Amino acid sequence: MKIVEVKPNRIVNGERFTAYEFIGWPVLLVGAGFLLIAVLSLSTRKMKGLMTIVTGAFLFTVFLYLMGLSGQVAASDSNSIRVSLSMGFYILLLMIYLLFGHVMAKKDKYLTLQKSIALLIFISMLVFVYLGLFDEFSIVKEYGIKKNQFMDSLTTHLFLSLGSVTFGSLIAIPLGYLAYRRKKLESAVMVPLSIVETIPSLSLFGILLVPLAGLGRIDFFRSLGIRGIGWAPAFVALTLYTLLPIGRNTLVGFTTVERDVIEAAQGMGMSRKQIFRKIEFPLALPIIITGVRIALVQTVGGAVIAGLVGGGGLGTFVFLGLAEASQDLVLLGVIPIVLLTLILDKTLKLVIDRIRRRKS
Amino acid sequence: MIKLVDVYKNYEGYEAVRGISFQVNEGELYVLLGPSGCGKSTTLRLINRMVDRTSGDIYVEGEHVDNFQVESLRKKMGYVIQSTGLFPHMNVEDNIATVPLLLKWDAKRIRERCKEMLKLVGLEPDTYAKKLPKELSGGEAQRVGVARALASDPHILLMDEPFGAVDPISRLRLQNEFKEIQKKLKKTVIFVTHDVEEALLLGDKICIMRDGEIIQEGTPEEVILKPKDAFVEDFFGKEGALSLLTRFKARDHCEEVKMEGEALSEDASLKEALSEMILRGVDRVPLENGSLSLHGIMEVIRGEHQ
Repeated sequence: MKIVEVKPNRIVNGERFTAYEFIGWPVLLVGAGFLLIAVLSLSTRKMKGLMTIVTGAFLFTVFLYLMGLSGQVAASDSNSIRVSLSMGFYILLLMIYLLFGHVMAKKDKYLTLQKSIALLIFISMLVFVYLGLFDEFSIVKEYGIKKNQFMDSLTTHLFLSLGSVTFGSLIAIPLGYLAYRRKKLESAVMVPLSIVETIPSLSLFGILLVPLAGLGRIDFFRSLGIRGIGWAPAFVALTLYTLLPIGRNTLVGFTTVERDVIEAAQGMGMSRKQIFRKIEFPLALPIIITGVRIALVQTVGGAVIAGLVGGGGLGTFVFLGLAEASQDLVLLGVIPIVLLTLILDKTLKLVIDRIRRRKS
Repeated sequence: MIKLVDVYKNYEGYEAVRGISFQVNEGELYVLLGPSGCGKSTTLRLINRMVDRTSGDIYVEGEHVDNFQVESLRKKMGYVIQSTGLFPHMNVEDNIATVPLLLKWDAKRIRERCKEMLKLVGLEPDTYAKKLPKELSGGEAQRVGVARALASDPHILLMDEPFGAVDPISRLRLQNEFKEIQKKLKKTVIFVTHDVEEALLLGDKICIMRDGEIIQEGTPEEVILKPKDAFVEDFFGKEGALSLLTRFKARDHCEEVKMEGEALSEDASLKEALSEMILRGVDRVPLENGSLSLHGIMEVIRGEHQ
């Protein structure tokens, strides 16, 4: 498998190398290490999982380090040479992920330790990048060129996704509650939300173009930067897309509160407000937050389309990269999005767990 | 204490309650008994205004229920329902604390009251206070339900088939324990059930309902021995008379005739004593201090007939 491609400059196709061709004999040591892990898997020792993770993490870090060094050597001839990652590298990444996932799926008293070691890989990778080890790799090079723009885009991306989810929650949670309290309004509320969800984002921009351009003519809105294109249509579209998951989960959350429980609360003399605050809302909360989580994951990915209408965000890199046929520029946009999604997803899962645990 | 005067409840074209009047005196356990759909639950819910009546008057402690703010009316009465209705996100202690908290008792008093209530219903506070409802058995959950209803020490208790969803063995124990609690606390209780045995065991007075009307009202002895019509007679069945014996304890009818053999518990009811006689094929069973005879049981029955 070819793990890298060395290109004379950014766009031209280059020559591909296997790990052995690229790094040389030390890679055999790493390979031998992984063979050792395979042998280890036959043993039944208690520490097996932990040892697998420790050796795996160590070997992978060594491998990254070797790749960095070789990259510097390969690029030493000319300034415009770029080293791009190829299929082989991604497959290796996937295999490491599978290996770690397999080990951690087993409940083991060392699980926390295993997780922190896996996290160490990330940290060492960041350290390598920071030390300039990967400077010749094209993702890092692209980053180097677009550094300022990157931070800007990241902030915009966060603003777009977190902002629209917050805004969407403010609208959808009351709507969901309304649908729960007034059964007659349920379809009147839920059906439009489902319809909005089915409109493709590009057509939604088309629909939004006219009214937002109209709003932009009013001074107040123009000073906010609201125009037919730009961040405003992206923000509105993303907000609209969050309404269904949040609204539906709010409705479901409240509906799952049992009738008897509410009746008992009434029978004990709780007022409507007290029932909402002490009984219904706390019981529905984990499900509502699950809705917010779904919306957030969906929005962080969805915010890419803001790049299409000049709304900024990491989508800018993705579409620019596509236009320039530069795979690494696309990755510069996609990788942070994936990481962001994972982090936000995990955080909200922890929040939900906290709420559930507090009950037990 | 509680008085209903000619109360009706119509649900769009269907009359659930048709002109009911009765009065419950202080410290009395009043049973509303009848087949399902007879309007007994609705009647109960009319009293704490969970259901609004169509016409008629209801008085609680001499005051018309309409004169109360509905929440404060409900806070005056403990309310126990079949499915317990415990709040699943609160532990046992917090569940019991619900009404005291609404009444703004201070924290220390609430904590002590919770302990006291758990002990009253036979649950060890240290073991149970921090448990969640889902960790309780059906019987335990219902005990907590009763404890919660009694927590603010209301004068009145409304109970809607409270032991209906519990297995038969736990039910009998709960019924006996509740009878003891009631003997101690002397609450005014309105108790809805379709279980004849339960009604006869617990009730000071029994009110038999059918199709939203009262058919007969009276003490357990009266309704069993002098049924007003065929419906009441059928409802109790031929064994109803036997169930009347559950109201009497063997202890109270013990004779000073010493007897060998395995002694029956003094807490046993006369019905249990009678079936013990049938099982052993004798007309006298030993108790811890003395014995009980078939003749003694017949004396009780004779007394009831007079």
